Parts: sequence; C-alpha cells; structure tokens
Amino acid sequence: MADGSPWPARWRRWKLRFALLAIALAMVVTGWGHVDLNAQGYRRGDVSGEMVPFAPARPLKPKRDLIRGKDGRFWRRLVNDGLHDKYNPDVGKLREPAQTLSKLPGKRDEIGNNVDWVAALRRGYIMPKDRLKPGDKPETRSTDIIMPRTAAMPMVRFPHGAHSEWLDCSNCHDQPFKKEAGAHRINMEDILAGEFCGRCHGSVAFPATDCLRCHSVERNVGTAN
Amino acid sequence: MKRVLLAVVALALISAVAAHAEYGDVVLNDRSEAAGMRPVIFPHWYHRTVYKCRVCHAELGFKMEVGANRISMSDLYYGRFCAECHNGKTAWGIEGNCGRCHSGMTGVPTGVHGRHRTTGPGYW
Repeated sequence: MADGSPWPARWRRWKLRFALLAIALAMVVTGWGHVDLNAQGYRRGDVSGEMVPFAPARPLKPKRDLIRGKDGRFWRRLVNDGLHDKYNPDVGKLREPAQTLSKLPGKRDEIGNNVDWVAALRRGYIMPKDRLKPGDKPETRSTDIIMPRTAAMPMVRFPHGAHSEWLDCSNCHDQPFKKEAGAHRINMEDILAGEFCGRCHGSVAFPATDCLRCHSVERNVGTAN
Repeated sequence: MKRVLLAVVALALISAVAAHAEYGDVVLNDRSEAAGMRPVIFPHWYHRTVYKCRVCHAELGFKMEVGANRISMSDLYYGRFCAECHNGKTAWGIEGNCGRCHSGMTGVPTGVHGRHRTTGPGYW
C-alpha cells in the first residue's frame, strides 16, 4: 500500500500467475498451439504409410472454393483440392467435379463424391460402357453370399449382383478371393488395412466404416443359424 | 462453456475428416517428378461415369492396387494403358495435352488421395 497500489504485495504475484493461467486455459480451449499435421501440409503417403510433406490447400473460402449444387451438396474446385497445381496452364481444360457430379443422385455427406453410384447406374443417370473391344463378353452373377462368422455383429451379405454390374469376375477371382465359399477368413483389420474388400471399399466404393451396409443380416431372422 | 467446448471439438473433428480431393483420385508419381513433370492425377469419379470398372481393370490390364501399375510414356506411345482410349478418337489424345494428366502439385506421393479418412489410428 505504501507504493499506492490497491493490492497487497503478496497478492500481486498471484495476480500475474492467475492471468497467465487464464491465458493458457483460453489457448487450450480455442486450440492454439495445436499442430494439425494435415493442415500443416503433411499427408499420409499411401505407399510408405508415413507422414510426408504435401502442398497444402489454401484456407477454405466457401464462395471462392466450393461449387454448390441445387440440393445443398458441394464440391471443391480443382485448383484448391490440395492435389491440382493451379499454375498448370492446362488446369482450366479439366472438368470440375461439380459439373458432372451435381447431376447424379446422392446425399450430402455421403462418402464417395456425394454420389450414390449404384443408384446412379441403376436409375440410368450414367450409362457407362461395359466393354471396349467388341468381342469381349462381360460375365455376371447375381447370387448372394451370407458370411455367418461375424461374432457379435449382424451377418454379412455379399451381393454378387451389385458388384458384377461394375466389375468382371477376374477382378476379384482368384485374387484376392478364391472362388469357393469359406475359403478365406476375412477380418476387419485386413479390410481396414486395404486388403480383400478394402481394396475398393474406402477408396472408390463406400468405406468400411459404414458398418451396417455389409453387416446387414440379423441372426435368427430367416436363417437357421 | 460446455457448448463452446462441444463446438470446438466438433469443428476439429470436421476439419480432420474433410478430405480435399475427390473420392478415388489417384496420384501417380513414381517417375513423373523425377523426370521433371508434374505428378499425374487420375480421377476415378469421371471415368466411372463413362466406363465400368471392368473395362480398365480387366480389359486394359490396370491392376487394382496402389503403386502396382508402372506406366511409362513409351507404353502410351505404343497405345497401351490410358492410350487405348486417349488416342484422339475415343478421347482426347496424349499429344499436346500433357498438362491434363500431369496436373498435380509437386511433392505429392503416389497413392489414392481422395480416400475415406477417419480420425482413427490408421488411414482408412
């Protein structure tokens, strides 16, 4: 009090400490100092599996960077997707994803370009050719396979039909799948690491984190298992 | 305070999950950058609207595994792989259109980039 301050001398130190603590708390709450490797320009390389430096996308400005469809779905512009080089003189010749994908059925946040590709094919929004060489004859199969050994999860139904609309038998048989029911013991770890179903599901088809789309058959319902 | 915290956590999750590239975008950079070209970007999303998977992966011989297809420009000049369609008749030809494929930023590694990502320990 002798120096004119309203605070006792021993409180003054505590006041500073409280202020620092409050600032630190605020930093934690607002996420300051958190290093997001993805935002810092690092991505996980798919071949090495390690984080590798990667050209970062600019901060997102919705009006500049996104193209919105009429139904609320949106797609990034190519020049800001973190892959395309905006200084490439030919980048303007490329088709924007929104140009094609906004015309296809799908929901916002649906993994896979916001497009339900099977519905797009079945309902005739797209008519992809199934052969290049005139003599080539696509093979199809429509049987379902039920995989019952799924522990506590519902059983897995594998529909040959939906797959052979897109694929050839030789794409899956005999690598990675043998043409024999029960030949493989497939587990989720292998799938999530990119083997078996994970070859496509997670990169071009719906991801394996969408559990119930495969684990779709309840036990004791219609089957004697 | 709880609401603010919740909002912060939700924002962090959203920004971590949001993938920038389109689903199924494949980058081929085994040789491009070493040879002084931009990496190649292959957009699955466009190609699957005009051809089914089996056309490229069964008829044209593209393996369904990241990094397994070692494609060189001399393959293309002989009309193999991409050049079975990109020949100036079925689709635009490779002559004078380098930048349409070689369009990636430098430093991007080979791999599927627009893949599904969660905040889990791996990269699925």
